[in-house]
Amino acid sequence: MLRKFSNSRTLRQNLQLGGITAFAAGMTNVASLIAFFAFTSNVTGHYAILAEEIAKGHWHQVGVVIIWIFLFFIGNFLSNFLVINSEKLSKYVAHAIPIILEFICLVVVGVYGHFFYRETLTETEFLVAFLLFAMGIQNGLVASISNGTVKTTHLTGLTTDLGISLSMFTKKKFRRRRELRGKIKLLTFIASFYLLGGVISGVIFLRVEFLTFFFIAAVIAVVLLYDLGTLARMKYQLSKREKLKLIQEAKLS
Amino acid sequence: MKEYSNTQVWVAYFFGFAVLLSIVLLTQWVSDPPSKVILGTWKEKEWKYEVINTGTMVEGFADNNVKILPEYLQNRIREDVIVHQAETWVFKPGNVLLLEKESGEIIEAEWRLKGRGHILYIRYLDGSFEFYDIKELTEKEMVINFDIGMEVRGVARLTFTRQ
Repeated sequence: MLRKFSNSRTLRQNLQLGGITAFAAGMTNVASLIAFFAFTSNVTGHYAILAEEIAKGHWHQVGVVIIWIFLFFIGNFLSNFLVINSEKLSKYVAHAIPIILEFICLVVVGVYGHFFYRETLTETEFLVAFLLFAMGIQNGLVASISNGTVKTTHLTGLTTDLGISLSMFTKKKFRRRRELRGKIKLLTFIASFYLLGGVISGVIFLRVEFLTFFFIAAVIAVVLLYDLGTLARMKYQLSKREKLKLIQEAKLS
Repeated sequence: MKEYSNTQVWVAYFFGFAVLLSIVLLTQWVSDPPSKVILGTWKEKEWKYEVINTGTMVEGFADNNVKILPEYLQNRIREDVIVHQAETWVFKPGNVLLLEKESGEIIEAEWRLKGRGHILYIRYLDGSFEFYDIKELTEKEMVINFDIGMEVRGVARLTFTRQ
């Protein structure tokens, strides 16, 4: 999932990455909406809120919303910065570092929320900022390694692309194009998993509250561990094959 | 096209960040957080109802798009929503809220602000809670919306003045 970069990625790899990260983003967004009354997986709404607060002259809120948007931006910046500056490392490690950061952010929010959160406004503002940073990291990484094909924390662009792609399906010549079919499949997959994550998060949060963030961190850990699992499986199969080869050679000799 | 060195780019980033940080610090310096502004005693001045279901409205109360809620509907809502029975709301530090009724009875509750300070969350000692959308919060006035969600569909708007 994390080993391949840009155009060398297959549709299957993009579906896996898109599905899991969209699921995590949907969960995060709904959990933060219930806990903090703020969206954390996208910033489109925050730009509108920023304009509204400026117009009303609510300067404290203006500052807070600027920080929120900036942290989402910084998450994206840092994610891609780490990827392009980790040339000496393997692709997996370079892509895993931002995911590890996101994992840490989610765990920190879970721990703080569960053990220390006293529901003050300052705490709420900081935790929302933290989650926006985490979602920025995820969005930046996923978009970066998939060459912009996969974006999983917001659905505005995705819904636009889906609308355009489906309209192209009304012509036979476009329906024959395999990459267009793949694109529609990917977009539908991401939107469905985002929604599913949101619904599950809504149900879970009402029962276990901030422990939900540990569950989201576990989902993100799947992205990290999947490639390690694949590598371990490949290694095992390879060693098994070598052993068989040695046995066969021993028998022949 | 002019080529910039890495140093120039980082310097530009640094200045951009410094400008942004200055704006944020300025916004925090010129205004108090809502959690501070809300502290004090607020007297209920007005109770209005933003029309969605016009069929329930009594003619003659029209005031542009906002109509005053008929008395019988106010009473019905007051029966269901504890806080509306109070005429004076006292927000104290430590998240203590005292709701003083006209009769002199005082209900104690907890208050919290959520989001960017735009949601007022009130939790009562019996575990029940209510959410209000803060539309305006200044030194002199507080306007909050409450989603009634019953027969009279729409949003009740409560206006308070500081005592």
